[in-house]
Amino acid sequence: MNIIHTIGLAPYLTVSAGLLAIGMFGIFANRKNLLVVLMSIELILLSANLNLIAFSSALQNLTGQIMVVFSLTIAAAESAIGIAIIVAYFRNRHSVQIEDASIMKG
Amino acid sequence: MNWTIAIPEIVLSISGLFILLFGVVQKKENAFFSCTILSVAAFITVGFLALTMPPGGGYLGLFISDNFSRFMKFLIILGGLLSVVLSLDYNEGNNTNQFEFPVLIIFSTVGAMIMTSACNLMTLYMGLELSSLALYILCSFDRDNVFSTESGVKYFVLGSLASGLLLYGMSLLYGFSGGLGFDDIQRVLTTNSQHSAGFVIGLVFVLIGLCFKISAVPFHMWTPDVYQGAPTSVTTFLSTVPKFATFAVLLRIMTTSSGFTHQWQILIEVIAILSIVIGSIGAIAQINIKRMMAYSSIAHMGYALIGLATGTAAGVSAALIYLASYLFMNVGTFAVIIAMRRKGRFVESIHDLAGLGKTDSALAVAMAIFMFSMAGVPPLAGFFGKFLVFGAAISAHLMWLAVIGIVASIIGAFFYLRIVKIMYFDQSVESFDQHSLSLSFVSFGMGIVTVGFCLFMRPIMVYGFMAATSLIKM
Repeated sequence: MNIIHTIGLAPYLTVSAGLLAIGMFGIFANRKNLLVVLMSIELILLSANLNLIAFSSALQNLTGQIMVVFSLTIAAAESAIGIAIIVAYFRNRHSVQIEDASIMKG
Repeated sequence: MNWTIAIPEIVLSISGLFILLFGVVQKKENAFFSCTILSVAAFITVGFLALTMPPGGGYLGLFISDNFSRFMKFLIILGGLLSVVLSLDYNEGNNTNQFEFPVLIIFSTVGAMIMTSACNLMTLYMGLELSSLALYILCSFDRDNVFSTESGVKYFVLGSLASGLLLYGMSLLYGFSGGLGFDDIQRVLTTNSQHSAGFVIGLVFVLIGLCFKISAVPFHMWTPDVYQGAPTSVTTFLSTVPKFATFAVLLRIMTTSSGFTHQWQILIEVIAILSIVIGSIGAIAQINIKRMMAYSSIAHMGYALIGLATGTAAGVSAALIYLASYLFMNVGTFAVIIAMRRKGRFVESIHDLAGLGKTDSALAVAMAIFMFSMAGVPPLAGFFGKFLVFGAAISAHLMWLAVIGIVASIIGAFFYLRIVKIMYFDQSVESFDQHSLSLSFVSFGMGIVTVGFCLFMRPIMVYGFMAATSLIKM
């Protein structure tokens, strides 16, 4: 018996929507640190992955899990690139504060 | 399994890897020039390959090749090729002449090409990320420059937020339609009249992610900053290739989900109107020419979206022709912007163009042609694009869309013509440095195409219409 049929889909979707909300909140409400933004982006990607796995299990369809393998790889590449860009930025500006990233305006 | 339909992508990726290897093992101090020439050769080869691809599907229905993808791939390869040619001069002058630059442009172009052929959300996501990840690096390529790295940070944060939302939307679409293919989405749309909330939220999230990439209005905040900070050769690329690819995806999803046309239409109409109005008004206040071009590109994407909002074959082919004309005049303008250089330093204020009509008349004529074309003055390329788009909107009974578009294009004429006024009627400060042959070549070539667009119109229109009908029929 598949566990998802005893628990139901709703708890999974609720948790993943909660993760998405925390991630969005972390990007928009956080005025401090760029690294926190990076963590929030990871959280958003993971919420989508949780969704995909839950649906894949409920639909008895493997496509969603294949998609998760791809998107995990991409998430790893994305955070590597993000860290690299933040390091390059830090060397020029000597800060990773979000309010300092404002020399271009208008 | 018909793997041969992806030959252009395969060849371009392998050439990218080969050029990377070539650059690494090069004994000479700097491999930038030779790698750039090799990538120009790769782009030209792949351009011919892409034109000869037969229509068909493959890779278990993940990948499709048709007249539409061929048309878009041709534009994308042309955009990548011209950006690489422009980087030849800009990156030498900017001291960012590392050989990784053309390689990253190649990989980003491969991602864009995959997006145009995607008929499955998985292919779409992979292509989009391949194209975006290379672009994040390209934006902060001038890594000792605080503007460039800041633009990289901004593009990375907002871009990955958008692709995260896109992925979340895809997961909902998967759950509520049972598959990742565009045809699964279409099946749900055509069979059910009442759509579940999760499905609609998923569609809206996907739309948000895609609108971010073409910088349509509610999601355009990043555009001016990133365009200003990124190296100008990257800005050229950024304003053409990823936008074309995303536009191709939007067209394919919209025309596939024909059962949903009405709801889509309202969303796209609102986004198009907002983009045109805010792009045209925002550009007026800009002194920096790259920021001005950013707002101008927001407005241009709005005009192309009008063609998409009609949902007819005529509208889609008008949007394709609009994108083609936008490519030529946009790349030409950026070639002139790269030529704006005094004593080896790049200048970006529009007032630096003062008196260009006297000091460098050939460059001034080219810039005037591009500005008149963007404003939509008749015999030039931009006019035909706007004319076809507005014509399609009127015949699809979207009269108010055409009216607002025409009013906004008159507002837009102000800041384009201001450039012409500054070039010809203001006192010159000091002349620009002598510019290189590659810049003259690109600006001259694009100028010829922009002026003579009415002569090339017929083949472009025929191919555009073939592309549109291959899509609408699906």
